[in-house]
Amino acid sequence: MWEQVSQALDQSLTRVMTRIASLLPGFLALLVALLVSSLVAWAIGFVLRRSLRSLDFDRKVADWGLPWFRGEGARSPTDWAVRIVSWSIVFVGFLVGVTAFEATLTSLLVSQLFAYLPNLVAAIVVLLVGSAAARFFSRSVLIGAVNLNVQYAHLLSIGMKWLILVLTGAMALNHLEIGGKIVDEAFAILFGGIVLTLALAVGLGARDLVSRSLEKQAGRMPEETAETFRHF
Amino acid sequence: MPETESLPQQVKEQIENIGHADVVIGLPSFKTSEDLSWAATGGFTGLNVLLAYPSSGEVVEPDRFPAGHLVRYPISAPERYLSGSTSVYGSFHEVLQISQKAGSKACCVWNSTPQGASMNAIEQLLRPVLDQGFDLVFPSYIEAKLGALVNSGMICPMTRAIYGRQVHFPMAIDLGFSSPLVDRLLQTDPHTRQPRSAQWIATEAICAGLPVCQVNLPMETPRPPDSTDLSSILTTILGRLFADLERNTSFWQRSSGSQMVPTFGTPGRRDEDEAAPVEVQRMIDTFQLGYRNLAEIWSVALPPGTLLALKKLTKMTMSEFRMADDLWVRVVYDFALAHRQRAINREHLLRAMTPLYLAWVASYALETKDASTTGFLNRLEQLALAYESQKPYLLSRWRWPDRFNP
Repeated sequence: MWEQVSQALDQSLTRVMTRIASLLPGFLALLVALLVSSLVAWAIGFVLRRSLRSLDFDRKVADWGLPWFRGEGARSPTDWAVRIVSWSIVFVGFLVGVTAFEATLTSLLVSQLFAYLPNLVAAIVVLLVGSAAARFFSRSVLIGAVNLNVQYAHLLSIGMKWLILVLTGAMALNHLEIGGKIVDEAFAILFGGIVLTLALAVGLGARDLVSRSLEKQAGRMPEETAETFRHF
Repeated sequence: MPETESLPQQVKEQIENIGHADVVIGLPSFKTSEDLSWAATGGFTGLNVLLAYPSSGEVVEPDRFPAGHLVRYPISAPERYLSGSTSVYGSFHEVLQISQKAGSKACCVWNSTPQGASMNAIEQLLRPVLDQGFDLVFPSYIEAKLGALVNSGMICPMTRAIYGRQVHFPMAIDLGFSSPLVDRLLQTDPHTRQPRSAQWIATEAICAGLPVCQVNLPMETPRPPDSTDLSSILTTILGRLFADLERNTSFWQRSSGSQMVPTFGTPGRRDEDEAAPVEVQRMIDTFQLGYRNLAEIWSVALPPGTLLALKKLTKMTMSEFRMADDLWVRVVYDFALAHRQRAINREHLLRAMTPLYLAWVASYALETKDASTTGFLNRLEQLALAYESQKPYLLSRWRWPDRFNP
């Protein structure tokens, strides 16, 4: 009886040890892959950081109108770019290491991840373009409204900015396939809300301006300073 | 340099049938035959005159212009002077091509409305070319205290300080040309790859060292159409003025001071109504609104000291509202530098300058409200001298843009 128990334990121990022994190369491969990818990530990050600094990347990104990338130190656009590239390389190294364990499972994981990648890239592009467009158009509205002496120019500019940002956010979430119908409905409510707010603000606040403009167009009221000042 | 030719065959045939012309007069803004009532009499005795008008207007019967020949030509869209629309900025290219084709000695392009023209004025513009060998003749209109303010406040004094020539209306669109200048303007600029005629003609001639002069015309500055928007025109005009600074850096960095250009004719005078009230509150309001909302954009172009001075200006009451000449000149120069550095979108930058320009207009109008003609001309001379005295500031910041500037 004890012999049988001892034999069973021996066999089990042997199986476990064999299993562990079979996993060890995988662990080692994972460690090596992580180490190598970290070294490669560090080297590429170093070169990338120097290149971006020499190209004055931070200032250019600020000019393109990506406000949340503005800042010093860790939050600068150069740091963001270096971090994204470095962590992507480490992640690829991790995937290579994991593949050493169980080819079937990890290849499935990798194929799903790669299938999702275009959505992620598209969402990032939409966010970048949308934020640049929001900044550009809000600035255009602000300057135009100030030049027309519209007192609530800032409100109009913020309204324009958030309209574009909300639209951009909804499009990005759609690309990421997050939220489903909730995103569409939330977007419709938010967008409609902003438009209604702006319409009310402009409608109530600009009555005088609109009526003056219409009267001027209809030729009922002369331009206040047309006869006094000539700019050209 | 390659020449840019866009004349259709039909127009070339018209010119060939006419043969040689001594003088070509172009009227790109022509619309109806009534515009040419002045053309029936006088002018250019003994010279063969050709009058060119665009096919977008009515057909002119030959009896409307008995003193010469008529040529009708189509205006092509892409090469507008200073990139503006035809009605505002005019078009030189087609008329200059006609002049070259006809082998004329002198050419006048009258881009303002033809009703305002006269054969006498056109002859005055062309006499210095025909008789004295000048290559470019500018008109000098009657200056009004509150007229042509963009010219008085920026274009004229800045051109004088930068390029060293005292031309009263450097961006005038009614000009007289010699045939060598016509040939030059029809060439393509190797840097911009545009015909030179679409660029700013004044700086083309001055930087090429060609003899230029001006003629006093007994008329006020031509009026732009009512629909023109101040901000858009400022953007176009300042964009050209600032872009030319970049294009002609090697010329203006070497020049200092300014010289009078030969001026012909008697200067016209306009009786200023010294007691006329000026309404500037709205301009001051726009400036104050601009300071509250556009300070972020202004801070891209203006150093802290200038922003502080503008802040003080926002707090002034209307009676004490004065913008010092040095402050205004530095604002203009700083915007020119920001335009060069592309610190932000150029159109945004130039449009954001409108409230600052209105502040200068308000300040100038209040300061000269009781001034006579001599008084306001002296005031403008003072401003021009401020532009000249501040030129080293522009030069220094142009050469070392990253140097600390309080």
